Amino acid sequence: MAFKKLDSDAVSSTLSRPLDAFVCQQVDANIREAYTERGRGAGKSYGADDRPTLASVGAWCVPLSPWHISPGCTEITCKLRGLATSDGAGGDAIKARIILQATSGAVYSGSLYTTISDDSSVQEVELTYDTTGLEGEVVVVWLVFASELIPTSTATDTRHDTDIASFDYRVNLGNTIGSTFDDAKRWKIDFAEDASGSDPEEFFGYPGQRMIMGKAGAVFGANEVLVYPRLNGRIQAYHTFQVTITEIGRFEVYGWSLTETAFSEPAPLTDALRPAMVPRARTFSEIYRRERALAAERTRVVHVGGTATPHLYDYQWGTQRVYIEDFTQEAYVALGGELPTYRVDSATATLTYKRRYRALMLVVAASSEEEVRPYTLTAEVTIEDVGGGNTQNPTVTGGEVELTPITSATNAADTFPGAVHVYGHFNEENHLNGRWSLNDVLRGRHGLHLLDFTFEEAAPVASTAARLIRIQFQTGGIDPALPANTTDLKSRVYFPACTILVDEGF
Amino acid sequence: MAIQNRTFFRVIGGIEDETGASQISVSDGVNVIGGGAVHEQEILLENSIHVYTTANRRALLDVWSHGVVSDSTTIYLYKEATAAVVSFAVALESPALVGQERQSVTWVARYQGRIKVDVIRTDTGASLSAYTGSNETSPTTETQTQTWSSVQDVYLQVSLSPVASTTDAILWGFRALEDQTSL
Repeated sequence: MAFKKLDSDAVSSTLSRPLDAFVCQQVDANIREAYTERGRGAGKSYGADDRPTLASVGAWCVPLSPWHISPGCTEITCKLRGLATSDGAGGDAIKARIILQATSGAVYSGSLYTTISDDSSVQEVELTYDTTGLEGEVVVVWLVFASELIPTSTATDTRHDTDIASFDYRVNLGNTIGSTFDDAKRWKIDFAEDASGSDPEEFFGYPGQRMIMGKAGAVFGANEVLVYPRLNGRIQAYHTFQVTITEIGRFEVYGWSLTETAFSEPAPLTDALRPAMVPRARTFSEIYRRERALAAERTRVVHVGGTATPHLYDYQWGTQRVYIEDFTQEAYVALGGELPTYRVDSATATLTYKRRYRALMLVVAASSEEEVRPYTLTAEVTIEDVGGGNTQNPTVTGGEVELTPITSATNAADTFPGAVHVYGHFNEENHLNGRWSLNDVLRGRHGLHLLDFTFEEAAPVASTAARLIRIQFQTGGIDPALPANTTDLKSRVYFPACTILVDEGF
Repeated sequence: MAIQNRTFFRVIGGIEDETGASQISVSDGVNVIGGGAVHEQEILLENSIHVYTTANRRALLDVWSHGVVSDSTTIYLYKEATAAVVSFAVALESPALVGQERQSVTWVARYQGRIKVDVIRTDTGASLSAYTGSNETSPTTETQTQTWSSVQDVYLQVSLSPVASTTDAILWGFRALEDQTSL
């Protein structure tokens, strides 16, 4: 049912009117309407020059943002807006779905793919997940995607073991394939027996399909590309083999939103509020309890997603920073303020702000060394007016974490600092940076830490205005110890997404 | 008294009292409520309005750049260089699902140049509400409210134009927040 407008005169105290069952039933119905129609929601977009492109060989994923599922919420909807490119004839470009990862680490992946077809116009896709059983939980919402092949866009050539280099990350495609390869598109690469049969397949076969991450860089030849995962040594056992590249579909992300779209509605109180019956106090207590639960628990999501740094690091899904001992750096930026209000004492009508925020912040620590060197990360917050001024540094509660870095592939770090380690280094542009292999996520090899902390705006008067919230951090305590303000380029911290919401309670 | 969109929630008793039991007597299980300085029936009605009209306004789009504090010309969400002849170009575009009877947003933008904000219905691409600002030759913070009716499934489009021959268009941040329901 729709919300029914009720005039305050219906319960005017000055007229000493008796309780009206009709009014009470409508109040009850209106609360249930609010329960189902006031789910949390928030959205994210990317600058038009820096929109991320999703494409992958096999299933890969990105963490959209942590999400605190409201009590009673049974469905989350992700709206994805962007441009799908395939064969130009309406063919399938990519398929996508969302999955949820609980704080326990368990991944709830019971969703089916939605296929997104090629279209010259921007389109929107809705992806849903049934959250029954996860109500009230904090989860990380992952967007999973897998490209479809474009078989009409392909090229093949015979290549040799000498075309593989850089610890099996780099492949020289040669001029024949190179004339087809376009780095602005996305490509799969396959290896097979040379068509002439001069170097027959061995019993151990060939490495499986890989994704081309992009060009190897200016210091290499024009036709040299990087592939991921790294090729294993099997390919080096052949002197001659056949290489085939095939274009894959891609999706340029304009923006996305997350919204709670279904709830298990509380039972109506109609029977307890029948006409001609004396309404019972406990029924009114239940009405108030439902109202209070909505006001206390269904709090506003202020911000979702990462704070991109495309103009600093060519990085689109979030921010990457290097380790600097005891030095404050910025991880996320959002706009808060304009906080909800309530009155504790209804008689005197003293207005109070809900000034406490909760941040659910994702952090990944990565090292280009083989040894795990843990260190601490401490979150800090600065709240200030847009355009500067009126700065506050509220106390952060629960914002410290011991980070255990994930380490890069063996022996590759010193040869390729930056380009090829999807986890280890994030500062160079490639087609997979900031993306995770679904395989790794399902097996817990994602390296994500979730910081769940709170902070409070200091001055109520400031809460009436929009205010910038800057989530900052310091790193420290690495072994061997470093002097303050000293940088360790081998230790990096990545911030893919952060959800900031008004904290529950009063 | 006319109906009001309550911007606040009224607490019965204390904030720790989840059922209002300190004011709503449940001693014999059948008592009616009321009396004293606080009129519980009115509070229940007004709170039911509050949770529908005002609670949990969605930040339909919130995206801010690292450089916003210093109005950086090298770190931003979107930039378009000035020229002799300028035009609007789309800077941000984001899907949104607004709440029932919440077809109104108030946005805050930090930018320079000239801004245009469109609320567009997803199914037809028709504009529901459009706003075009003035030329801003230095970083500015602007707030506007845009209202439409009925449609919940929309997308927000933020466009920017440089000021001809004088000012690059730069966008550092944009937030669109649902307004409270207008009954």
